[in-house]
Amino acid sequence: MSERGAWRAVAGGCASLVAAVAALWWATAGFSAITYDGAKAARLASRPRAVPRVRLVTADGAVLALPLREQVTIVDFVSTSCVAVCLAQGASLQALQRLIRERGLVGRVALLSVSFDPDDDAGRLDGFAATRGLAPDIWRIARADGDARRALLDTFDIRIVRDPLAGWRHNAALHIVDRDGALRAVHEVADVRGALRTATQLTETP
Amino acid sequence: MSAARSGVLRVLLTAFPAVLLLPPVRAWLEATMTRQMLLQIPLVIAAGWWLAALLPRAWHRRVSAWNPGGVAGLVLAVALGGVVMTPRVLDAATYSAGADALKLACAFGCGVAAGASWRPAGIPGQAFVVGNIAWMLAASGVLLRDWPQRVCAAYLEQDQRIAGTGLVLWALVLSALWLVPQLRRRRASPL
Repeated sequence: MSERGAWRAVAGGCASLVAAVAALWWATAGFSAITYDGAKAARLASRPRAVPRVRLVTADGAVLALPLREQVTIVDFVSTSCVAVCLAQGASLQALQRLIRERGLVGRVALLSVSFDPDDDAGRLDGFAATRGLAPDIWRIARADGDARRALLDTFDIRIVRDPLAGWRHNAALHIVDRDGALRAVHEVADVRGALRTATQLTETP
Repeated sequence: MSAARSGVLRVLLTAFPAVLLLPPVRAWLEATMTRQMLLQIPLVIAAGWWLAALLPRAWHRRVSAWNPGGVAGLVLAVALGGVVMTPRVLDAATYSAGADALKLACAFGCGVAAGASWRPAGIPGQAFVVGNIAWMLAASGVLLRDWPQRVCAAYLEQDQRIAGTGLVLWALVLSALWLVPQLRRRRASPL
């Protein structure tokens, strides 16, 4: 191979490597994750996101304004008809409710389940609260309608899929919103202690 | 096949990628993980490969000066193939038109790069690439099939399991597509 040919080969190899690295960088959100939820967690770690000011409807028809001020809130998204991930989320929030009371965090850390399902009427929300044992001073459930629903799903990066076997399916997680109404972190559903640790740390920051 | 028939076939094959870009076709292909991974992406890669095959010899000669042995092109093709199979990209394609366009461009680029590098790579290079791709496809397929959770936010577990099984089958098909002609050739001229 001539000297010119060798230079061309090196240049072609470098160009190929640069293009390959750029494409992989794009696909993995800057080499941070290979899944949608992984990229969401990585993004939030470096760039918290403001939770939109929206109004939710509770089972008794009252309006609940988001974000909840003066409390760190652990938020999950549910449909009362979901019999897949929502059951796992429910178990995690039950454990969180117990830990919040045991550790004296009532009033500082709150739990909020947001229903995205338009069919979740007052009766269904009440049924959800009763079967999971929601203590109103810690854990509330409310429904998001219309624009509020769209804004929240967008901000929290929730993707909903219709499942013929299990009602609605969505990417489940425990989202931590700080006292200033910023979505700061996301934990896997089973990571109850991690979620509570993050929430507790946020209650201690001035 | 007559020259006229072969001409018609060439035109149809060349125009085929445009059909894949039609919004209803794209929406149908991306409605399930199985169709996106096992049908849409391989078809777009094949379209890129076909374009490379249609380009004149002079173009191939010019490119191979920058791509001796097809190494640079195959590295790029393997990387782009990995990119379009990333769960995050499969998800993004379902809700972002821009991400979908980039994904399709990567798949097409993968086909062009592989098509332009295949002959220069020779049998050892081809064997190395086919062996690695088949292994990666099969491993990804088994992982997708057995993973207890959904890896894509847009698709359900059942769909994920079928896509995983399909990837394992694709690994076998790709290996056979390359291996069978090599064995035939070898049998025809054992030396």
